[in-house]
Amino acid sequence: MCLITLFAAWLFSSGCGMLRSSQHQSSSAVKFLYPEQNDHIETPGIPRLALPIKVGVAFVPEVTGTNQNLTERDKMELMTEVSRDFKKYDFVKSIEIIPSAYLWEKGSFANLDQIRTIYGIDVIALLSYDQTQFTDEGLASITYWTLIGAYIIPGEKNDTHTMVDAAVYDIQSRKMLFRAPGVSHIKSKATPVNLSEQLRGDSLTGFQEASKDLVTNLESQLSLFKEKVKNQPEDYQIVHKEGYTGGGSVDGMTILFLGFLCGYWLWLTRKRA
Amino acid sequence: MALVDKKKSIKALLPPVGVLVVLAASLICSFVPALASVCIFDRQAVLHGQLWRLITCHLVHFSFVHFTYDALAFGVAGAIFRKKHYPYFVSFCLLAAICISGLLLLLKPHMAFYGGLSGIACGALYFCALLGLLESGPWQKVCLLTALFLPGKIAMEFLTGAPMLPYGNYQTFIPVQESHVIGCFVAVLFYLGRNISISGSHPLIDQGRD
Repeated sequence: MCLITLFAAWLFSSGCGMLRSSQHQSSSAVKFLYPEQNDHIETPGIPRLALPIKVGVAFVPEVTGTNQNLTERDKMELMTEVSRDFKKYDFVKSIEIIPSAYLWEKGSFANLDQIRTIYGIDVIALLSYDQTQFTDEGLASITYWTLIGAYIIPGEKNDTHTMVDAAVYDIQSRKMLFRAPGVSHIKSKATPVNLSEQLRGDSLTGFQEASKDLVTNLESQLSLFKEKVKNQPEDYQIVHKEGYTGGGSVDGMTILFLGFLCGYWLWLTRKRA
Repeated sequence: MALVDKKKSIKALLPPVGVLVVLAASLICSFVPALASVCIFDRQAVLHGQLWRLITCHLVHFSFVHFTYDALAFGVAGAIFRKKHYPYFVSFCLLAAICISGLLLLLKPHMAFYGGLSGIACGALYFCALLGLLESGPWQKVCLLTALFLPGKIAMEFLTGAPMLPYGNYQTFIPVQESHVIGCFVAVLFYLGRNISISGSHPLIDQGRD
């Protein structure tokens, strides 16, 4: 009777299939650019994009404590992955990956101006994230009573929801050019002994998968932005930088057309003969 | 006998020796950095008297794809000139080269460097198309299509601000559509200047007929 009462008490307190813990880490581009105590809100101007542009990529500082799971090395790797997407475009001259140490909390545009001076960039992609991890105990956690079960039976159920957001700003005009999100959802199981290790791994995998999703979304947003620039020339000024290299280049369309013409000519000549 | 005829027809399709020499020179100028730096359109150098760059800059290309596309177009233009016995190819190329570089020097004050054969190639193709319009048969249809396509494509590129079918890989230069416009403009001037008429017994037309 005593044992049953104890078991019931354990079920009630630790919870079989109930939420055990949750962790939340985030950083916000809005809080970085427009901090609460700052009454002055920057008014965006008309962006003047001097092609080819120099782009910077940076993580905005965390607002809810420091995320121990996402180290500076991981951030660098994620930024490199995102920067690869920009590199392939002809209007991008170079990409600078900016370490977190160069951005301070609530740094706002003053901070971005400093980075602009240091790195010589025109446009910056500010990466922010929001990650929440939930840990629940599944039915298998009953085996923890055996003590060995706590070491070998993965009774902890983890859910990791991650969102990585890239907001691309023209620093001089303070205008956001476009943004793209990337999301991921990781599910895993762990024993109580390796729970923290599993959560760390899930956290990193979550960021990596969200970054992949972000890169895909960035490509489509970049295409939309290019269309927007063409359709709304009054909102965006596109100029070429002084000292740029120009090339007289026949494009693929002309080559295709020449190929078509050759074929057409041969066909017409044979038909006539 | 048939084999000899086939060889002759293949030979007739090849670009003239002069064009092949220009393409070989272009290949060397594009991929030998020391030569490229001497030949490229360098605004400051041209303004300081290195006027040969106005002509040699067209031989310099910035990537293999850039060279391949331009060489293809220029080679096709040269082959047409040879097959159709159109004259003035050399003088057209020289005049187009000087006009393109000279006008870009005036029109593009922020452009520090320039290179590429495409302006001349576009102009030469357009010149061929204009001359072909005076002929009859299938060639006239082909030339009509070219005469409509080239200005249409250039206009579209100006409107959209980007090539209709851009390069697949990373590009180290900004495409200068103005060079194509100037090339075509020189072609029109050359065409009008030569006073070619449909009814006239100009040797060009007589030789050019299929």
